[in-house]
Amino acid sequence: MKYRLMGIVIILAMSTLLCGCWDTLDMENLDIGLIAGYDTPPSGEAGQVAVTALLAAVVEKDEKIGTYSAQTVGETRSRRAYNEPRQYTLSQLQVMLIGQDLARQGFRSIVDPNMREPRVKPSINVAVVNGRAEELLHFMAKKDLKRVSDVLISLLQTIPERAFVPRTSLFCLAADSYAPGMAVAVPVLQPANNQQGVELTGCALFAQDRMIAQLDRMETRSLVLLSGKKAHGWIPFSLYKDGQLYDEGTVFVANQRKVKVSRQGELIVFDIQVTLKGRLVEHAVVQHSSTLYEEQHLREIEQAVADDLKMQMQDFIEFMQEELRIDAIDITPYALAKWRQEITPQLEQSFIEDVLINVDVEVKLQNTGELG
Amino acid sequence: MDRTRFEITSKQLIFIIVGTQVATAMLSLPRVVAAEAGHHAWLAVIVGAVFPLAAVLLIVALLNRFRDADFANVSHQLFGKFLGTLLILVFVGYATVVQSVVIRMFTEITCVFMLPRTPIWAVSLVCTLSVVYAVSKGAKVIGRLNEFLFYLLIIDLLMIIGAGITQGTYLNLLPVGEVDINGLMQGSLKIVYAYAGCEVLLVTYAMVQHRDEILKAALIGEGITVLIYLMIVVVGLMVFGHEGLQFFTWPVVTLLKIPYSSALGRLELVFLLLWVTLGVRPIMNLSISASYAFMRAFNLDFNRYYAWIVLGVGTGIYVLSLQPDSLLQVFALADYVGYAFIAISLGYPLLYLLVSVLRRQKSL
Amino acid sequence: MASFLNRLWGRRKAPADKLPNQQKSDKLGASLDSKKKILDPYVQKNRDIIFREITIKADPRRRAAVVYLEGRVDKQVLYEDIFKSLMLESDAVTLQQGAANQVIDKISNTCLTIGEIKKVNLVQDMIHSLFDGLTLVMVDGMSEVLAINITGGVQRAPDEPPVEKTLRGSREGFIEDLSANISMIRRRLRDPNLVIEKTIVGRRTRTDVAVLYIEDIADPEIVRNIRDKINRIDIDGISAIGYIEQFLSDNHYSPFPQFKSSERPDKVVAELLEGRVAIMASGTPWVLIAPALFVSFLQASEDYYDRPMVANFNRLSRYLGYILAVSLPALYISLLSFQPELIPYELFVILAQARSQVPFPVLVEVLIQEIIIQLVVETGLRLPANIGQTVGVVAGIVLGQAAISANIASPAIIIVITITTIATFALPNYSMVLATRLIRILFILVTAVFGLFGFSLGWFILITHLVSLESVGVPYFAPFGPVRFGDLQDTLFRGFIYRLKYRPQSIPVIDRQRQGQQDG
Repeated sequence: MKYRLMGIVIILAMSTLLCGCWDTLDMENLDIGLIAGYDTPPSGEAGQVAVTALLAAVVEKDEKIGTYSAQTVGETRSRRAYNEPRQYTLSQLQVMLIGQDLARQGFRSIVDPNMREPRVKPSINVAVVNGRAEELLHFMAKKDLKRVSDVLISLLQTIPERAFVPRTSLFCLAADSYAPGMAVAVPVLQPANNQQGVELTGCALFAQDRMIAQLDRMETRSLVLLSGKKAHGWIPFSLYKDGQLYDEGTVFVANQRKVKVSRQGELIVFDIQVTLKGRLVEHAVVQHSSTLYEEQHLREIEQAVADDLKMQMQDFIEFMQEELRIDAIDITPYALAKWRQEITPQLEQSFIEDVLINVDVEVKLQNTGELG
Repeated sequence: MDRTRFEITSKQLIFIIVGTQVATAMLSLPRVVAAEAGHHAWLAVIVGAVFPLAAVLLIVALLNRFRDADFANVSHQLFGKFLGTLLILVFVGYATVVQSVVIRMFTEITCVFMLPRTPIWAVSLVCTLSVVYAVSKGAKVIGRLNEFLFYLLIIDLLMIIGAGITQGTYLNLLPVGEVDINGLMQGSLKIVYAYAGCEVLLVTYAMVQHRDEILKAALIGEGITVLIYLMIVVVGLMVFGHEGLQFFTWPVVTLLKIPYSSALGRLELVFLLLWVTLGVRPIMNLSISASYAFMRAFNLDFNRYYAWIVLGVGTGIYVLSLQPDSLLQVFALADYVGYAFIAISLGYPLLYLLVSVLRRQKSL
Repeated sequence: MASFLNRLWGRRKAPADKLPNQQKSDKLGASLDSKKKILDPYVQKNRDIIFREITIKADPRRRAAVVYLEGRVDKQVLYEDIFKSLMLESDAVTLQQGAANQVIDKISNTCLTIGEIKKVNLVQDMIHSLFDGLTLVMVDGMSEVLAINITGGVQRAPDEPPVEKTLRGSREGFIEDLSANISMIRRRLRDPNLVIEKTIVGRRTRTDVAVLYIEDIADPEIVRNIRDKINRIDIDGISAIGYIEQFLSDNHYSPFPQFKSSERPDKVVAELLEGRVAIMASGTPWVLIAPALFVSFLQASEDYYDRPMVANFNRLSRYLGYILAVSLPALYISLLSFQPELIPYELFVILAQARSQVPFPVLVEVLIQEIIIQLVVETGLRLPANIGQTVGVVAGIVLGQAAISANIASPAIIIVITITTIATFALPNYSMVLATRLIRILFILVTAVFGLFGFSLGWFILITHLVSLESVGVPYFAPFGPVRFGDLQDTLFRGFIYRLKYRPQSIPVIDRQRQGQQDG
């Protein structure tokens, strides 16, 4: 009896529940946003933010780009609702682009709605556009790049495997940039010089929620090596002997970093040890046979690469300490781990300017390829 | 009375204790503790464990004094029919309220992460129904279920650890010195809500087959809970840092959203998929304690009335769970539940012990 | 209550069939005519009853008769060992020695060269013996009648089991004849401790039912439980062992089979050795095995015949098959309609493109395909093999292809349903296949409302249900809930045979030791 009654209760409940499939989405009736671009509204339009969405090609043959500007991101969604036949979903959002103007103004208004929405993955990649995000998307679409989304998604996802450029996720941007005294690096995109596609020009630094500087490729490389973000890339070298060009070529290396922090009185000293491991890609000895059986020669190449990089890094550190006045290379936590109570208040005012940062670079070429 | 339906092994008692404690509270735990205790939140977990530990020791000390250690029976012996029944009813009421808070929290999490448009009442209803179904099968089934689900919990924990190791840095835990005693104490008080659940021992004590193993099992259960909490808080701190934790309502879920995975876009959904079955455990365990205590208080025939009482308790939970208006109210309620937990889990055994010592009832 | 052993066939008091003019428990009269009178109504109505009056060579004055059912007896034996012995070869000297009231014993002892003979002296027993297929020999002046078991007639030869096919195992399958089936077990298991208890179930069908177990392994509690339950069955007839299964099961509100059935003697022997009890009924080439555990439905006998590395791979794929069979369509719904974030975006776009052609919601699409496949499977089972194949091909390929090109179904759903169906039939046990098909539909409905949340809630309820089930008092979901670590080496994986030193913990047994000294 009681079992039968319970069965009836459960069946009744199930059948009432079946009447409302509250959360079902019809995937064919969705506007699937793959890339979202955020800009300040174009001149002449009111509001604070313009959201450009690149929608996947579901019913239509091509991907669609549409821009709506309004006071807030949420309001643009409401605009979109009035204008578009299908429901806009963020569940497949893969890349967020931030226009240069908006990046300077601050991205708080666009990160908040996206982090709050559970459907948006915080692991999606973020990039800054040199210019307007909307224009970049339109430019790429016009250049007949069949799938704009594919190009951008794989470019940003795989870039650390090919170059010393950071990959930054929405979460990093949101979480790390709020840490006092720290800056987050975001890759910067722009239409390529040859007008054929897009190119990465380096990275942009954000402190709190504002873009404070843009770095070129060399500086970006120094930043990546110093901050220990995992990356791979090609580095050219020239080896001089007695003032004469002796050998030149390229190495392909992956980076690693170790940070040690110590105190000399009041002064906090960071020792950053950057280790690059990899292989020789090519070299062309100018004055000598091109074989590399002498280990000495290999060591000289390593030294040349290391010296070169060390100089650039020291330049970058100087630039960072004197002009940026912010920690862009993620070393503050090491100091905090030792003197958290003491340093925490300092971070708000000035910390990185007053420390000593030493860099040491070591290059290990483990492989010279098929040739000797 | 079909006693065999209400027998559990001491091993299952371990999992029942773990299962009642480690559930919804786990997901927001790092935030709540770190808000007060900073980067020493993990210490607060250990310090906070004093409360449930004391509760377990007191309960075992109390019930060991009786031959028939049935909670209802003990209450009646010590306080007489009327007062004893009243005390049991207070316990049943407390368990019902705790369950309704847990189920509401559970529903809220489900709605936020999985079903944003589905009304609360619907999600709450199916949860309650599945709990009622499980509880109506008796304690034996609940014991086995807790045991089985514990191993699912381990899978979930492994996911958290994996994410923590790849995404976090140990630097956020350092330095170990510089303890802020005041914050630590505050944090330990906050964590008590997460330890609510060990009071089920009051009722489940009588169900365990080998009495001599109860204390050991309960302590192991507590130990496992502390370990799990410790691990979660440490991972939370490692990934977010104690300041970063404050941005997220349920940092343990958010934690899993950070790693990039190309095949499973939202790793946290996989986590929640397993967690749904884990989140209902405390409701299940409290529900069976409440129903059992109620049955025994009035000495009802198990074959005839048990299913009805379970359904009644279920209805109570369901109605209560719909009362809070918003998530913030639920969190506030959770704090009260923490205090009520201290009152019940320490107050009851203390009161009982006192009376039984006064009455000089020999430990038989 | 009389012990089971005393309730050998023919002694059962239950039958309620009416006997003309006679009380059921009356003693038989001494004269041949009185017996003939009792049998007359049956003989007149049933042309297959042969009532043959004979003269015994040794004692020509005494009238005698042989009564038997044509077609139930082995005629060769009947003519050689009964008619010939009595009419031509019986020795007058031995027969006429001793008291006259011992004639019947003399005949039994000296004339009939047959093994199984018993004496009946009740009306009811005589009639039942006749209809049970025994041959009656009655002599004038003796109230007792000899019931001789020479049942024979046409029997199917043991064949390769059609459902439980095997690659490396024995090719012999059970047949409909109980004694032949028992002999197959005896041949494989020569242990003197193998006990075979017999009883009769069904007032009218009077089906022989045997309970087999190894006395010094099987738990007496389980044996008693099964025996009691079988004795309590009071039904007019059973036409297959499935009836007994339903009478024995503890939990009726469950789609899960709580007894394992097998048509392979080698499997039954393996189960007996693990301390289980086998139940056989004549007329069914299937044997019930109890207690059954959930995991045992995912184990095939090849698992034990092949090398562990390979066998484990097969077994794992079967577990995967079970999970897929239960949840793949449900997962499809919940991913497509509720949590598309979990699908990689490239796949999502492709799926959306395919879906945009189909006018139905995902749920309806899934249900349509599910029902079609259900019908195809059901049709294929009942049709002769070659027609069944044709239907399968027509339904599978033509229908699927046509549905896609008519935009009634998207290609993805065809793939999903096909994988599910294949996975369903990867399960070695047909009862489990049936259960899986039902549960799948429930899962589809729950996920249609609650998506992934419903999916895990569905699993929660399923596991709760499995944990609450018991098969003859043994936890059904045993090595997992309650967790028995010792048994885990033969669940998801099978350990090396030489390491499986003990019988499974999940099944209560008297003697746990499997390898080593203790086991004879």
